[in-house]
Amino acid sequence: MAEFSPIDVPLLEIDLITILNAILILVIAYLSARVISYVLTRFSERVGRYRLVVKNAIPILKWIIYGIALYNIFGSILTLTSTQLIAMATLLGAAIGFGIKDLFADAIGGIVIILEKPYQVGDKIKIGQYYGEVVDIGIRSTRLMTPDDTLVSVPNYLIFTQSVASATAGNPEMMVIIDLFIDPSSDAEFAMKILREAVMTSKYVYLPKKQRFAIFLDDFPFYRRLRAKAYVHDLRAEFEFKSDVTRRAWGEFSKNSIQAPKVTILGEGLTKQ
Amino acid sequence: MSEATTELSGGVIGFKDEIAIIQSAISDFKKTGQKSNIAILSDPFGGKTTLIDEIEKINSEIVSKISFSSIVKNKDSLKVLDQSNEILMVDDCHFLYMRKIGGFAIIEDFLRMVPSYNKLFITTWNSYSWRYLIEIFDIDQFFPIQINLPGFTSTETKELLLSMYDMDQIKFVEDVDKKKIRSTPFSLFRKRQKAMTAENEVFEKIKQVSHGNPGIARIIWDKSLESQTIKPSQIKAFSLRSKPEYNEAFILSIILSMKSINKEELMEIIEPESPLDMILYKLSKEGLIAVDEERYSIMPEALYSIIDFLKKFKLVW
Repeated sequence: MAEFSPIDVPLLEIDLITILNAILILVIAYLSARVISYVLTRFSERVGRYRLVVKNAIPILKWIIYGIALYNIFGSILTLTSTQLIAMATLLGAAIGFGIKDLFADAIGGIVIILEKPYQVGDKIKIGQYYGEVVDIGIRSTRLMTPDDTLVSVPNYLIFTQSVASATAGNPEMMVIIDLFIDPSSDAEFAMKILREAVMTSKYVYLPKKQRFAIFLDDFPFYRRLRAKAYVHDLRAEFEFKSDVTRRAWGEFSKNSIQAPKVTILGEGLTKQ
Repeated sequence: MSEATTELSGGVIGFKDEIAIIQSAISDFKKTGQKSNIAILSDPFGGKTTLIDEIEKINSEIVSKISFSSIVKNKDSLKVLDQSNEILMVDDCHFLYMRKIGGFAIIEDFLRMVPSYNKLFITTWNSYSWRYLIEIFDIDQFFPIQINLPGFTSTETKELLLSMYDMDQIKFVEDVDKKKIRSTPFSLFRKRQKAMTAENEVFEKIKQVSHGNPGIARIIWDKSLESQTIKPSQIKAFSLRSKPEYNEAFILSIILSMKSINKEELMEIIEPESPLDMILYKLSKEGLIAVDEERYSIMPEALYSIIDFLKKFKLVW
């Protein structure tokens, strides 16, 4: 049997100055990331249609800043030899195995999100049980603003285990589906015309670039469904758009005797016979 | 506010190519009966009414002309088209619709007439209304010839503005220290510019500020001229003092698309709970809109700043 010969790893001398330098670099990196994030977020609101392009630069810049910080700490301050680097990696592996594997998975998930772009900052996505606008892609988690104004932090590793539905895929415009239900006895064709005009006159509708809207009619046993598919100019106005079209369409429906479905109780009338 | 004219006693300034295209379409229609309806498009104050008036003057015996000055609400207004000549000019067709539910009946009737009548239609449209109508009615299919009125060059601007005066009646005064301009760090990277006279500098600046829009050029000229004297520094580009909110921007987009509109019509378009009076007051105070005989229109100097802003909101395109 071959004799095991231990590798002689020279002890790493870490003095107080080295630790303070490392902390200082991390603090500078953190502050730089916060400042850049703040400045670009403010700037993005001033550039109109390029809002999402600017916002999507934020997570990439954060990764670059933290990458440079770590490179500096390990490369310049700790000045590790290749043997020390291997030893450190082994220790890191053990740490991941024992306790911080979730954090590591989140960080890897963050890198995948940045590179593969299943969603981007500004997209409306559904991941797991949550639906909302992506406001930040961090090192550990993705932050979503839900329609009821709740900020949800979704761990980045969910990208490996959950399917993600992105309604916008990097575009500021978003398709919105608006359903209205009318009684089968009402004039469906006229109702479609009203709904069409409600969509195309809405102040929130996005019409250019041939992203047209469409109106569909579907028949069900006790009602008819009118469905409008149209783009809203800014995904943040999704619910205002729906509400605007619904309110104005129903205002015209009531003027033109187009009625909502009547409540039908199955079997009603049979008992009376 | 009326559209400024580009007319001279001997014809109009500019638009030579556009007049030739229209005359050719009229000639083809007369010779062969083949009709290619025409849509003339321009921004407000861009000179489309002047152009159509010139076409009417050239072909006075064979054309009929109808001009709309406010939103058409009565279908009977279109009956006059039946009695017109074979070549029919319709000015300001954007008044044929209103951006509200039920506001498209008139333009739908008009678009039914355009292909079915054996008449050549020469129409003018506000370019922002036109682009909106393309998206909802494919209106461009009805008018195979579309003429986008080009902006004036600085030479045409000069010719237009000086046509109202005798030679040497206007004094151009140099008041910009060119040494100071040259000392800026950016000037190192610029190509050496030819020395420009005060006169040429004035017209170049007016052309830039007005984006070549002849109506706006004339208004800027009138406002910059003091006692028959004009200085380049008096010609200033408009800049928005504050960013309008979305509701205000939407109202601006409606006014821009309609050229002019009254308060009752605006109330029909926007949601009833909107504080219209307050918004109109604010827009007026900011110098973005003007009121003339109870009709609101975009302040000419502010036109292109407003358009840039509305494009960011995707309210016009």
